[in-house]
Amino acid sequence: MNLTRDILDQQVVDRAGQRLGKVDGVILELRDGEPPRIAAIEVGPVTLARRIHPRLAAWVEWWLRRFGPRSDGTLRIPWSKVRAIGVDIRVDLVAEGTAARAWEEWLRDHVVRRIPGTPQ
Amino acid sequence: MRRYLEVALGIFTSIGGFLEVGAIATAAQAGAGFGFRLGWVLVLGTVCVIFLVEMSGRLSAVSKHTLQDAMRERFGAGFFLVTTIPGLIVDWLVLAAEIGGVALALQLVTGIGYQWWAFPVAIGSWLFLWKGNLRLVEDGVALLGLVALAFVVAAVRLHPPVHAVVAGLLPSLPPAEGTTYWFLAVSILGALISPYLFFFYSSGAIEGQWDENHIGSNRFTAIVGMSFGAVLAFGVMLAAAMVFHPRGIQVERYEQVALMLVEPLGRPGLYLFAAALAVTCFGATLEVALGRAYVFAQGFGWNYTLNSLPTNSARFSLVYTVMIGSAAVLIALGVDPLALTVFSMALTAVTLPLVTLPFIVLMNDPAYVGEYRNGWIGNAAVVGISLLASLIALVAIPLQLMGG
Amino acid sequence: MSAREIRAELLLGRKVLGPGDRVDARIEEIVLEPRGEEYVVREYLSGPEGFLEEIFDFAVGVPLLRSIPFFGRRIRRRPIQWDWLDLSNPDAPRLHPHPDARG
Repeated sequence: MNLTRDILDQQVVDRAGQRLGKVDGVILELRDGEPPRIAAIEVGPVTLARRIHPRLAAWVEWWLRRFGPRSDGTLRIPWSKVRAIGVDIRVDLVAEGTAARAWEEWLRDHVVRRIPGTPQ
Repeated sequence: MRRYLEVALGIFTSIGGFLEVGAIATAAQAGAGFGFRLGWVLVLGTVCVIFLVEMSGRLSAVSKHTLQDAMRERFGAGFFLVTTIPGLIVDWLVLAAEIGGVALALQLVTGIGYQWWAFPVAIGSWLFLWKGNLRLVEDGVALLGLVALAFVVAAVRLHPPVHAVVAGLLPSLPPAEGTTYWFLAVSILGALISPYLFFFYSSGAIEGQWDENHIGSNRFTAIVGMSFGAVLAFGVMLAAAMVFHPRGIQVERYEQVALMLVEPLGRPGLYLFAAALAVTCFGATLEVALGRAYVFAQGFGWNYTLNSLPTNSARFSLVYTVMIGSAAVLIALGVDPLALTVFSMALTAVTLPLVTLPFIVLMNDPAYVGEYRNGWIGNAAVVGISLLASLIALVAIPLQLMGG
Repeated sequence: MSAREIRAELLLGRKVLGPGDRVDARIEEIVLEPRGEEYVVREYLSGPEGFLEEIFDFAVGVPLLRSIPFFGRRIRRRPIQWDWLDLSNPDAPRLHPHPDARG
């Protein structure tokens, strides 16, 4: 299995098929005398921004923490939660309430629902 | 059989993506300036779009991923960000031009300046998306778009000389004013082959839950849908060729373009032109805004669907909302829609290779298209289209500066 | 993040230093294999290490330049086994001298 081809940038979906995000980062654990193992995958705009430049990541993080749900939207998913790697990466989680959905839910509750004429 | 009714997606995509403010303007200018001689460019553009649309649909049906999904997954975050930022700017300008198109149509009919129509048009388009679903959007605009057949009716009524028309379908060199000729050719191609078209169509396929059984109907939809748009665009060019070219009239403003329906159809022609312009630009407004929202949502991995309440895809819904609202500001400020159209067509042409080149890889990757890989014809087409797109990208800006 | 964790997405594209701090290659891909319940790194795939390659591969997403004959011959490529790479400084991965290497 290759990292860039099969894991990185692939779509992550939860137990119910809800989209959580793309795999923006992969955490490897280094061990003495043993090959590094995949510890977790990470979903989040800061993680994505860091791949361009760490300063961009810091800037993105600043903005995300300052407004709205004040969450940087980073969700780390332990590898043990990964159920399947195929056309999508299925994880054994419920998307609702996770950091990856913080902005979606905040915007839904504070902006979308407040627009006149929106069915709730 | 019901799948063949999904040709409505094709017709809608065609009306919004194919025949819209840019296509009408460039086809009219081509007809006015060069008669039937640029017909071959329309044919070329149509063929390219048919191939790319069919591939977008096939990719989505087999891989269950949209074009944008596949582009990030296969080429990485770097590619996604490098291509999405220019795409966003171009789409925003095109969106403003389309809103301007609808506003101009309303100005034609009411006499009230187009700036005043910018926000009403924006709100109307937004409401359609906010309250409606993709089916309504597709079928509604496809149905309304039939009014654009007025161009074809007008063209036929003007009795264009058949042999000259057919001669124009074959590539030819310009008789004079070469720069303008090639500039128009490039503009037509830029107007017809728009990236948002493919992103939108592929997203529509996923929203429609297409699978491998749809391969055949996808091909049908691509061919019939896009050809329908091509026939409409051709009607515009022919009518312009018959009305303006013999008199040596150059098309400079949209009010002039309306005249080409008045001569063959009388006074109703003015209203028909306004209606056709309004509907095609309205369709394009929806398509560009949705296309960009889909690209954002798919590139970042958010939920996205037009087929349920906006509360279920808050970020997606807010992207098209902000796009429409901010683009309308340009028109409300009085930016000339025709100038904006010409400018955004040239920019579209520059970003085109970024969208066509990935097809070469994706349509041959079994991980995405399984056993439905491109045959040699498909590959020859996509390579040829990419070469053409790269050529257009290189010459678009210089030509505009020189001859536009 | 604990000291024993690194970000794989940042490792991709990093230049690998050889003996004497000579730039040897660039990490282009990480190959994993299952081991029990887990996935572990088996080897790293390297590619050409020029600035041009870095920008191009980042922007295009696939190592294209190497398939062009001239560029492809710029560096010998070989997979780097997991234990050949010293990641104590993840920003500057270093090749361990291979136990069988001569000189």
